[in-house]
Amino acid sequence: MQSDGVNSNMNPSPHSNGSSSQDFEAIYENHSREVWAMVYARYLNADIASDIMQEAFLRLWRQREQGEEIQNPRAWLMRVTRNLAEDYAKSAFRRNGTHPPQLMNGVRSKDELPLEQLEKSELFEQLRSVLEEMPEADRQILTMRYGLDYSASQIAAALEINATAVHMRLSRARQRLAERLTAQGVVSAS
Amino acid sequence: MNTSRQETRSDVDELLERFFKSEVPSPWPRWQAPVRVCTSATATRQRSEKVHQSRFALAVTLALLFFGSLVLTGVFRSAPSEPGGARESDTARQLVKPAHPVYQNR
Repeated sequence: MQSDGVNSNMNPSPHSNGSSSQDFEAIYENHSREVWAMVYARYLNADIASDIMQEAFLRLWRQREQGEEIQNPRAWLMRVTRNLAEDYAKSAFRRNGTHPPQLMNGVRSKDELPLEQLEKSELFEQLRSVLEEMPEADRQILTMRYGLDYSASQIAAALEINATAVHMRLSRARQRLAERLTAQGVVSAS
Repeated sequence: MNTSRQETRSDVDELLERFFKSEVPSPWPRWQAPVRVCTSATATRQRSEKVHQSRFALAVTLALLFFGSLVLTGVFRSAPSEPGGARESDTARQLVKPAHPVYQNR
């Protein structure tokens, strides 16, 4: 194919042995968080992100089982994940389905006191609504930085931009967010 | 609630961290390779085998039915033509016309 290069491999099932399984686990370990962050940044929904991530890796697994050598698994995964996220956006379930618990003010089971939980839930809901108004690219950087604890260089590698650009975009995103949160009274201006 | 919610601008980082950390699955799910129970090719082969078996059973049943009926009709048809064999009508005639010598003497 194009950049991710899927070639037909005529070697006798190179992916069916134990080392191949370990290879796949390494790919999963290296790229699953990026994949998750990409979908999460789009929908701000952890469950959808996990589902799509799992589906993308399952497809990669099947592809390898069929004997196709994927030269750049990361690029392949990103492309498939993007397509899966697009499909999800078009799916009838998304259009007509139920709202996630956050939007229904659902209270997730945590070990906190109900009042603390309610406050946190309200605060997070406000933050979520602000994040939803932000560009997807900003959300992606914020997810990687704060959710995955990625360094600037790791984010740069994941998004294929340089570290300076990451710092700049991160700073801008944080500033935009702070302004909006301040305007809504979620945080106070210093 | 407002007082607890009022956070300084420098707390944006902390707020973001708390929010995103609560969203990221913890612990991170491990990859579990799918277990192949039955591939589509195997399923198709099994299905075609079942179809062949049932068709063979049907063919054998029909053949048995056909030849069985032929044999049965052949037996009943060939019975009157046997030498010395009595026809059904002959037997009836014998019942009507007694052949006992006592009756013949009268």
